Amino acid sequence: MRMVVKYAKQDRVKYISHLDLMRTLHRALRRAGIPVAFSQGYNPQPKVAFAPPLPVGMTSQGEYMDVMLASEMRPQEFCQGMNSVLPQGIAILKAVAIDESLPSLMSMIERALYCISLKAPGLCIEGALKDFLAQPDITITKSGKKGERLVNIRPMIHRLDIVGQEEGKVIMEAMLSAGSKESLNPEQMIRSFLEFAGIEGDSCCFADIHRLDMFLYRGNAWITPLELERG
Amino acid sequence: MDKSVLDEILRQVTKPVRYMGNEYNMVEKDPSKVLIRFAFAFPDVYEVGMSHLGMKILYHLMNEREDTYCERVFAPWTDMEQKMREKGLPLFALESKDPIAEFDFVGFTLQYEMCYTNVINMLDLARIPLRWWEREKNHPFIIAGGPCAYNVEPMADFFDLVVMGDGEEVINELLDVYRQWKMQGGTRQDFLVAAARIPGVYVPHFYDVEYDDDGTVRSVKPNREGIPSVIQKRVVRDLDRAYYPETMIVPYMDIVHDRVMLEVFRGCTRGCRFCQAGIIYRPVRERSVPRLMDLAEKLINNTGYEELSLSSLSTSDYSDLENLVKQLMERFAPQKVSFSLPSLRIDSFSRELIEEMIKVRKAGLTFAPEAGTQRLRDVINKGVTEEDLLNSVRQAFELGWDTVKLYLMIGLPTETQEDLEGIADLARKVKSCYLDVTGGQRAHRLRITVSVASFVPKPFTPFQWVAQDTIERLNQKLDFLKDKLRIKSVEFDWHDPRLSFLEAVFARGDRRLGKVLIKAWEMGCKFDGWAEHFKYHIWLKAFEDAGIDPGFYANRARDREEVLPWSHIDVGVTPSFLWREYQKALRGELTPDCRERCWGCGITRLEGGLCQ
Repeated sequence: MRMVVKYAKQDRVKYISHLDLMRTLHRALRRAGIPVAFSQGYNPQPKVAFAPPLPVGMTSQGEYMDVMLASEMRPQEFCQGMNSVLPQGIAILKAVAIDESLPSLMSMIERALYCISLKAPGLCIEGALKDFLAQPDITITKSGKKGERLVNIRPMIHRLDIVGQEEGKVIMEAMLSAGSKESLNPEQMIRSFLEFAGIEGDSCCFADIHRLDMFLYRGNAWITPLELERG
Repeated sequence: MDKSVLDEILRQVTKPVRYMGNEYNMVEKDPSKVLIRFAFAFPDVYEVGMSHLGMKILYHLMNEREDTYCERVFAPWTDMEQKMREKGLPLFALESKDPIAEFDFVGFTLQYEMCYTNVINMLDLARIPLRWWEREKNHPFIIAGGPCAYNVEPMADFFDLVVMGDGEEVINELLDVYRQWKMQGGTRQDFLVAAARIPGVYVPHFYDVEYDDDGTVRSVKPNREGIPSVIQKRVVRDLDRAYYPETMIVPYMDIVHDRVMLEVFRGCTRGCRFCQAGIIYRPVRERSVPRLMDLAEKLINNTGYEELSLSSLSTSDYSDLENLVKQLMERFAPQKVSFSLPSLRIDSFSRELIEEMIKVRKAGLTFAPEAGTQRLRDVINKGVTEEDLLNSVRQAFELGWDTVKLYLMIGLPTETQEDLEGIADLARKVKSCYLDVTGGQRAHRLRITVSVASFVPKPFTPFQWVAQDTIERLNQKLDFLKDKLRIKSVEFDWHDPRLSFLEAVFARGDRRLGKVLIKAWEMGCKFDGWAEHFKYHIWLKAFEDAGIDPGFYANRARDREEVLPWSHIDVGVTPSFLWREYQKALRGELTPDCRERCWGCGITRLEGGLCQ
């Protein structure tokens, strides 16, 4: 039985790396006594896979993991069992059973929606944002395993709107590419925007970023992984 | 504390998870509802400190008490420290994030001499006055325990009191006395006087040290009424009945020992003459198989750990090991729990059992012959022969291992050139054993690591009287070995002799070294055990400024009559036994395992234990 599980990573655990979070969830699965299936071979591993990782320092209410179970279990039971053994700040929101033959979450998911709260006291950025997005190319330097390379991130920004303002903060929503094909870290995008707009910010404390959900394209529509629930 | 300042800092430092707390099984209490707040302080980074079993035991033990909230604090890494100082954030406990300066106790565990500057740095970062005489009514009591607490003299200025021996019982007695004192009201001295009546509690400044003209200690005497002239360490009588946590904090980050630790026994009967742990943790006390099975069950279920280690000083000496491992395998293998047995002697194990165990995971193998020749191994009473070692290595190769690590020491008493050559010979023999077993089949996969440390004479060992080799001499020996060990498939690594030299100074130091520690810390020494932070030239400057010759402590042989700075501490094993062992060492005579017969080490004077 294959289950897709939606979970939240809240403020008090936002500094855990993806690797640490994976380990934490593996151990929670053991504590909860979930009948996770194991791989065969010399060093058996639990069959648990994850959606695109959340960068350290961000919070989320739309994280996903994909768990293969060795025996049937009611999704509700899974959620209850897990929530009673998780550290504070990590919460299972929902689980659904999906078709075992579906590809991995990592390969299916293509977009993620973020809420970005930008600390920009007294600044009017609407105009700058419009000009920023009007550029045909937005080139940033990405550093990866093969060293630094230039990337045009404009095609990875599917939507970037100001949705509200409150005391010294601008609230934005961004739909960005995420997944194994291409992926854009919202922090890098914001950095690029601030540079474009000539706004000087404390280089590392300029924004609170929260992931709202992740999406995949299926049957002519963008759906969340939970909507893969088998009929 | 201003949480937004912390939040801002955490975005800017490496491994912020070190400072975050909130791990599964962390104890949460309302600090306003307890009488005693205790900060358990480990003077190294989180991932080192969280691997320490003693902390796990005492943390949960203290938190069993309704009147006490024990929290944790570690040494912040230098980037974090810098940010904290910039933003004016004092050292805080992970659980509540409250400054530890507001606590009742800050209790340091001293595992290693080279953590002393970190203790000082943590006190400073906490804004707690460094020396005991500078602290006032509103300051916490700064206390210490752990192996280095047995000769805590170099740190005597900094601690209000020190606990000798197993902490499980003393800590509750200490907290009870504190509770009474806090409710009645009184001076700091009132509490210390009351605490000093608890057996195993040592208040350094209740003792005066006098020195002779030649710089040696003349006497150590209590300076007030009702204080014992000798402090005897405390021993937990029955480990089965002693407290052991049924749950452990599960860190997010990968710590050094990231697994359930099951302490199978405490103490060691082997009597290696260089080994301090083998003396100070006497007598041997074992946990029974049923008790261990019960604890394993609870700990695995409560933590979700996928690995369990059987810990002790010499796990293969557990009297019912085969049975224990069998039962553990039967019970936990279906759950895919793997086992690690550090300090295992592979020869004492049935081959089927090893084969069974490596099905779950094959960890690296480490052997510790300690010395290169049989003569020298006899001197140090390491009851291992070359044949033992080669048999074990052969078995390991037959079972498919390709990498082994050999631990050895240089600078041991009576060492000659021949003993050094023996180290290289041993590496060569291990290599030919591999080629023999594999028929040269997978020769490219072989890796033998020869890891060499310089011998550090420690207090409370038969070698507590000997002179350490000078750094120059140790470097010559290392150079010789580097040359001799240019062998394909053999890697050579070594511990910095300058660090071993300082370890030797502080291990056998006296109170006069306190001012050296302060000077070194003032000039920026911290994390001295971390190669990237070790600043030897600054240490030398600190000794010079303090007018102290470090060689006096490290490179000087003591005679039998000398009053050692730790002579007022009784660890159970008597100085006369240690001296006898030293003399036997010089004659190359062995003292077999004391399970075979009693050698009269003196530990039976203390309560309980296997020793009758």
